[in-house]
Amino acid sequence: MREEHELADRLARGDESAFEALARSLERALYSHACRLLRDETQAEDAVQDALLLAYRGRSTFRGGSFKAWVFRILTNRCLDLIREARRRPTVPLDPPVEEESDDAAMQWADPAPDIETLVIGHEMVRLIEEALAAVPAEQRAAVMLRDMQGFDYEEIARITNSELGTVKSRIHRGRLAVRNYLVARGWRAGNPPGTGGVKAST
Amino acid sequence: MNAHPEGQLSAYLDGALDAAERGQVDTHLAGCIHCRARLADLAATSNLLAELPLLQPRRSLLPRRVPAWLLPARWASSLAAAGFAAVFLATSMSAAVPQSMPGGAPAALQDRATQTSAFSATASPGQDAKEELAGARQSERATPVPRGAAPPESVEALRYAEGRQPFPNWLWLAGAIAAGGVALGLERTIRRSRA
Repeated sequence: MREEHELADRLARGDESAFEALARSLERALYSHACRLLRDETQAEDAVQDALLLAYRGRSTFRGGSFKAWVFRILTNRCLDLIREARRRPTVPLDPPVEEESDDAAMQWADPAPDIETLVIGHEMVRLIEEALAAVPAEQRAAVMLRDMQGFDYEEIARITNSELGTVKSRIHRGRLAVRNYLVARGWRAGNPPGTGGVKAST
Repeated sequence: MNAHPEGQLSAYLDGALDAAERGQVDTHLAGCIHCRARLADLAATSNLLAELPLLQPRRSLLPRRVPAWLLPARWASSLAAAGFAAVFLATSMSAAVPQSMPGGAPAALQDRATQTSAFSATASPGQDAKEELAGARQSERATPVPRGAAPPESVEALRYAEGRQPFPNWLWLAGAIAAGGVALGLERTIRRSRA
């Protein structure tokens, strides 16, 4: 973190060599974010490449602060634009609706399924969480991912997504709830003993 | 009892509530097992999401810088290609123009257009076809493209054309194609580096 801070300072002062080091350190995080937003590896690669190129070309406009937030903003906007574009085309939409602000059902807490299956941990759990995420509307998914997977705070997320703080709060909450409900419907319990409720990522 | 502040629970978890709001939720949680369970679910969900692995792209996604020599090299090869092509056209036309050749100038200008038809027509060289294409073939003979049996009257034209040029005309065309190929290859390399 401190290293990123130093590099960001150097970049803001005009040291171009800092850009490559920063980009390299964020490449996988950016790609993971794009993948889970776009649900398509090739599109994700293109989106990250576009974002990094835009960032490189606009590097003189970076005035310091969080370089990560700055780049994630470029990337998230690019991804959400692509999703909205795809939605406008008259093909079968692969993604749930972008926003469900007026939907009260989204705030409901689902009851556990009557048949509880023992979930296989590890690989299976990862797959299940990815599925759960895929079912979340894009803007909520972006907010949750920025919070829980990238560690941005609410103000940063508001800047990254060009939204109000209240909107960010609502999206994060609904998004988490959607993931929770998906998992609970498939037998997951938050109170499970350690090892079944979470997965240690090995990659 | 107050209504459950369920919509606040995520923000509470993330420390995004102000002091007053946080105090209210604290108080409520102390007396509400329902909301404590909800909070635990949210926390566990958040932790699960944080455990998802980092994904690895199949190739590098960093912007690659174009080596300094590429752009001028592409420029130079494009110019060379254009230059060679221009010389080739100029020498073709001047070679086809000479007065002693029947059906000279107009036939030379139609050179490119008729060449293909001449080639395909000679697959079945009937006498009528030969006479029809005499004009086109004459201009063809101006550039020494190796052909089948050459009609006697055009051999002189051939020698005449060759005598006028110190340098085989087709070499300019070859040069143009080669330089053009280099330019195209460099263009692709540049595009790949940038895009």
